[in-house]
Parts: sequence; structure tokens; C-alpha cells
Amino acid sequence: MDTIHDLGGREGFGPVKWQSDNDKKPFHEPWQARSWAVCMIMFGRLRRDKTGWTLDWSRHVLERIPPANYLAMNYFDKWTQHMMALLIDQGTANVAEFVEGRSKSKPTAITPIDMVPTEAEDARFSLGDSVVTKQKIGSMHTRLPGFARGCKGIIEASHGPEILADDSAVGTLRKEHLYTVIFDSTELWPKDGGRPFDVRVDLWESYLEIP
Amino acid sequence: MVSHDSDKIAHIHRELHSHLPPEPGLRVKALETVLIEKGFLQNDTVDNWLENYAEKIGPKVGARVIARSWIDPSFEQTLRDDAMKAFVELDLAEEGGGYDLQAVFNSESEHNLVVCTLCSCYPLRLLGMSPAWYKSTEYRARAVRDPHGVLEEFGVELSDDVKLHVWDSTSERRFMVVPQRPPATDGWSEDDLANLVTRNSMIGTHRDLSPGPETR
Repeated sequence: MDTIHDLGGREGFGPVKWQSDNDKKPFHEPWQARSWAVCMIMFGRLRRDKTGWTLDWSRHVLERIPPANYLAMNYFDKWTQHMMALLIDQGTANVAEFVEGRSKSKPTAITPIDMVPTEAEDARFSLGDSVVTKQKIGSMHTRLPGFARGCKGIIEASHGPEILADDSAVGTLRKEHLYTVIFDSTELWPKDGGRPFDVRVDLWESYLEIP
Repeated sequence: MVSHDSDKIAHIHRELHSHLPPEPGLRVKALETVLIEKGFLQNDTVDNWLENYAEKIGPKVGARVIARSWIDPSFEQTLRDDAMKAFVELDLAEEGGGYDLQAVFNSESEHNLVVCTLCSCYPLRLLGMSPAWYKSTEYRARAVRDPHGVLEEFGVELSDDVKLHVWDSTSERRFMVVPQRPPATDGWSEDDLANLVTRNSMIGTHRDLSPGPETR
């Protein structure tokens, strides 16, 4: 689904904020570092516990923060809330516990799920091939950005089979060939004018069609 | 178990948003406390983790690899062919524990800029947390549409003969820009060269690393 997170090319945004931050201070507040640390530690734990968690599911959970909140909340506050939502969804905690900041129950026992990736079929595209990206994607979560849909590009590199993000987000591991596709700015933004450039996007095979 | 149910998650977010305290610091505190009380974390897990990361990762890790590539052509080739291998060779990453990383090289005629329009993908486990501007909505929206304008805001003006490539981090591959070695640095030590490499230059919002009078 196309929620607010798909920001590439959206207009109306002003100058880039925080350009002159110090290299050594990536966090503006100490709580931000803690949010990052808790999430990174818990990603490892959720992976080991085999609860069906995947990084793509995590990304989708973050994307479902309501659009107005998504744009207004601090980046790390979104990480905090997405981790709470992940844990509530899988029965580790409930809303009231996070609201009160106290655990009042034992987590639901998890039956580990072994997720084994399905291997990829033979690659359909080779270096230098012209491709066109799909106009519509029906996935709950996808890594084909809106700005690169229905656009012609060239296969610049082939990376072999990788787990398809769209399926991984719903708990199915399936490999598909991954490519870097080059798009000219004149193809992406034909009415913009200005100096040309190119955008290179990693795209899975099912995002691509023969023109 | 994980539901993979998008609407259920949207409902949970609305509940959380209505009831959680507004201060982000209190929300993290609540998250950490609940996880400690449930036995997922110890009291000192987060502090230890942050301390460990502060020592091992950060922009300096990338800077060391780049500086070595400037003085050692065979190392530069390794960085081009298999960037993670270059980090492992300098003992800056563990074998197999890193990323599928691609180093993209700037030259007289080419400049590279990295973004993640869909979220905030970045080689965190090597270069540390990304800068706040990298995660801003402004950068994510504009870097693929007005990259020359974004670069000018950062003080980078590309001459007309320099081609600009923008890399959107949509897969699990990660990117690190390798800036050019500045002129007038012949005979510099590897450490002095590494000190010239800025975090922004490894993303592409800083191009000319010319040594200033205060650098050495």
C-alpha cells in the first residue's frame, strides 16, 4: 500500500534540515540513542526467537503510523512506537503496559517458526536490457518507490537472488533476482527541466516488465 | 505470533498515539522498562550496547578504509570489487557479519549521492547512526528530484561536466561514497588522510575534501 513513507519526489518540502550537525553527534537527545539501541537489540532477539518477524514486517509496521503523525513525529520516536506496536501485535505486551510503563503480565509463549526461503527461478534480464517498471503494485509493503513506477530504465547490474521484500513483509521468504536499474531524470521527471542526472534503484524481478 | 495484519497494526498505532505520554523520552523509558520487567533486557543492556557501539563503529571506520584505498591501489581494487572484504581486511568488520556493501567512487567527471526515499537505510553497523539530515523528510523527498539543489544547500556546486548519480537504497544492499583524494596531500600519513574524510562525504553531500589550514 502506498502510505506517506514513500517520499521520493514529493514536492513542497523546504531546505534540508540539520545540515551542519557535528559528525560526532548523530543524536540530538540522549533518549534517541536509547530508542535506537532498544530497537537494534530487539531486532536480534525477535530474529532468534523466530516469531515470524522480518525486517520488512518491521518496516511496514513503521509505515502504518498514521500519515499526519508520520510526518510530525521525531524519527526515533517513530522507532519507539513501531517497536511497541510490533510487541503488542505478537502478544509480548499490551497497550496498557506501555502507557503505564509497567509490565503486568507474562508474554504469550511463542512457537518458533522456521522460515525457509524458496529459491529463485532463472533470471529474466541481463545487463544492458531495457525494462519498464510496473505501474501498479498490489503488495501490502513494496520497495518499488512510487516515483519509479511506469518508467523505462536500463539494467545496470545483476545481484543474483535476494529475498523479495514484498513477500518477506507478510512472512513468506521467496527469492527473486535483484537488479540495479538506471533511470534518467528526464524519464522520471519529464516536465521538471534543470540539469540532468540519473537515479539508480535496486529492484526485484517482479517489479519489472519487458517494454 | 506475528500477525502480518496491516490493519491490526494501524489500530494499535492509533491506540498508542491516543494514550501514550507525549514526551518521546518517557515513551522510550516505558518501552525499556517493560522489556526489562519481562526479562528481555537487563538493567544495563542498553548502556552496555551503546558503549560497545560507540567504541567500534562510526564515520571513522569508513574514513580509515577510504584513506587506505587512496594510498594502496590493490586495496582500492578490493574496495571496488567487494567493499565488505576491504573492511574485514582492516579488521573493521567481522567476516560475514556485515552488509552487502557497494562502494561508489567519485571522480573528476562523476559524483554520487546516496538516499533512502522509502525509509532510512544506511550502513549503520559500519558507519554508525546516519546524520539527522539524511533521515529528514526534506532530504528523502528532494534527493531524487532536485539533487543539484540539495547539493547546493550543502555547498557543493558541480561543474557542468560532472555527471550526478543518485542511489536510492531500496534493497538490503548499502552504499558508501568514496570521495576523491584531495590534491596537495602527497606524503601524508594514512591517519592524516583519514581525518580529512567527513561523514557527509561518504553519503555525497560533501565533495572537495581540500585540507584547510586547521586540518593538520
